[in-house]
Amino acid sequence: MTLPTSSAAALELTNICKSYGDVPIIHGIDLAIKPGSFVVFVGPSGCGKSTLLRMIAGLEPITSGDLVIDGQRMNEAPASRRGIAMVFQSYALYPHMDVYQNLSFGLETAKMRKAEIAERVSRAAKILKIEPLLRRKPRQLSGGQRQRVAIGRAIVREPRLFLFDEPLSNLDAELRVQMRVEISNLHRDLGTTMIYVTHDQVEAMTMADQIVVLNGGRVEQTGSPLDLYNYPRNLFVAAFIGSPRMNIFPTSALSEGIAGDFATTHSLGVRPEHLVAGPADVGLGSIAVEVVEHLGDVTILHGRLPNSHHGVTVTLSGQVEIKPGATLPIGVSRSNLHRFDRGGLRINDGAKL
Amino acid sequence: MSHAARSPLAGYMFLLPWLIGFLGLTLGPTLYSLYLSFTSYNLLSPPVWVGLENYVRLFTADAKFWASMRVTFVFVILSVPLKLSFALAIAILLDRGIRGLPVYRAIFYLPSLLGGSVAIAILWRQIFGRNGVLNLVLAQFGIEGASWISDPRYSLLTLVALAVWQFGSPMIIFLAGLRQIPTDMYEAASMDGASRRRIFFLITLPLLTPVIFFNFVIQTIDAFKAFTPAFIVSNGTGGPANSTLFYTLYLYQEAFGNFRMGYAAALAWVLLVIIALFTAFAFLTSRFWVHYDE
Repeated sequence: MTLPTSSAAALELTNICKSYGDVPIIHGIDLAIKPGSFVVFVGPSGCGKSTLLRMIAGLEPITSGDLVIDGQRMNEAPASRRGIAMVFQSYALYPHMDVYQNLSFGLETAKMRKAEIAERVSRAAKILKIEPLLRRKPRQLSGGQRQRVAIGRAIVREPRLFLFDEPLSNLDAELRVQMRVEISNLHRDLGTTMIYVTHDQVEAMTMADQIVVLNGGRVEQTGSPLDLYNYPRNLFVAAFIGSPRMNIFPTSALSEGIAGDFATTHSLGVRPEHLVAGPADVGLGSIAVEVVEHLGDVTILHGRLPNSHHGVTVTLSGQVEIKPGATLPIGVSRSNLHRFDRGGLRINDGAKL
Repeated sequence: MSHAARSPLAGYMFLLPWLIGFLGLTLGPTLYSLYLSFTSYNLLSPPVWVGLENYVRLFTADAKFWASMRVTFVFVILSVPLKLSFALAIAILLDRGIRGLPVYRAIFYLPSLLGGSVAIAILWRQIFGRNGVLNLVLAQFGIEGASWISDPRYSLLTLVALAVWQFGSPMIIFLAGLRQIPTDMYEAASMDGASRRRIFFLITLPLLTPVIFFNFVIQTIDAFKAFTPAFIVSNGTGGPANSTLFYTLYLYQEAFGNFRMGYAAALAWVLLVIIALFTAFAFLTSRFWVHYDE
């Protein structure tokens, strides 16, 4: 679905700022979110992603700028009038109410008819497979079940916008993967616009249609997961997206023969998975291998470049027989090189945007 | 002696100061008073075993016992809910995050520090007496006040007022309890559009029930045991017309006025049983109205 005009955006932020007293936290954010999309705000802790989400929710006053939801300016509208439902990091379930009461609380507040409440609750319970749990108290539920109830509480309100504030951070790794898939499925089934905040770039990459990378209260880059992976606009995004993180070499750390090819370049970025053993377009010399991690599907080497001893991480596919202390010639295809200038901004060439 | 055999002894040695205090000053006298409650004892001659006679007389032939029981129950029933409501109301006001909270908290707590003292009980007499401060203020508005303390209709109420005035310690506990309620519960409710009133009754109050329960039990036990104010305000008589004859005051009169130690011990044990029954009842019913998080 393409909706080019900004007035058709489900949510539009124009120069949104936030200060606490004299301390600015968010520095003028512009963002348009298409209806039905799944947008992830990602960034390190303290980058302002949760504050931004809370401003959209109406839990935090907006210092300046415009917040427009479905074409209506909503800066001053109370949270309950914005047609938004939020899933909290802590789930914020009411411990003294059972699951049914937790789900129906908002609807009862809105003075909906009993029959309609019952219908909406049972529909949400069915979607989330929590029907057998409706008479349980939150303390009798597992972490994953509580998570579902928290999502259910948002679903029953049939909002035009879902907000998720790091919803999976309290779950163990296995459950996190499972819930990730379920939330993605839920988004596909409901088709409602969702905004999801996380510090975990894997969650961002796997779930988002559009990722907004935030850092220090500014948007570093906005784009699809693969845009960010393939064309990081600056060093921050380059290092933040991808795991293990991208190798960033100052050109001074490279042997002279190579550095000469990149006169205008201040640093070079190469993702560990793009480094290859043996001959390539651009040879980086033989690295001294220090640590070898066998993950089964891939082998990750941590080593040092010749001469400069700059650290380097290499991900080789498959199971590679190599011992710490060995040396290994590595290189990279020219098309997989990312070049950055002195200010850390991407240098575009023909091959890359 | 091996290390293993020596260590429990060392443990008991460390325990000894407390143990001596507990056995000598708490458990010993408690058991002795239980024994005394089955005796006739005037402090001068040795106690004489009389079996259940003290208890039988209490329940069958002592109008003053019932009068004092009534005063204490009325006091408990009036003062505890009033005090707790007041404490909760002030705690909620302070929890709104006003400037200078620590100062207000200290000021509001002050009466609790002073309240049980003799000086305050005397002050109360000055305020509620016929020519007291309260009547002087009322006179400014052309109202002729009663003699609050010497009128049996009002005398107990002045003591209830004194108790409610000491709302500080339950207030501090309520305040701590309110702070424990996660803000995202309120945020979730506010996103649902819940009014302040709805949030208070459906979120705050239920989540505060463990603290309410605690305060309720502690304050009720305290109210059953109230003594000093009644003693000072009525000069130890429980007057006028036994209207402030608290159970503990009657006990005191029997023990140290009439030197009927055995009878007073029986009174004390009846009060202990009443408090124990009340507490047990409170705990048994708590599972129907107290919500624990985990």
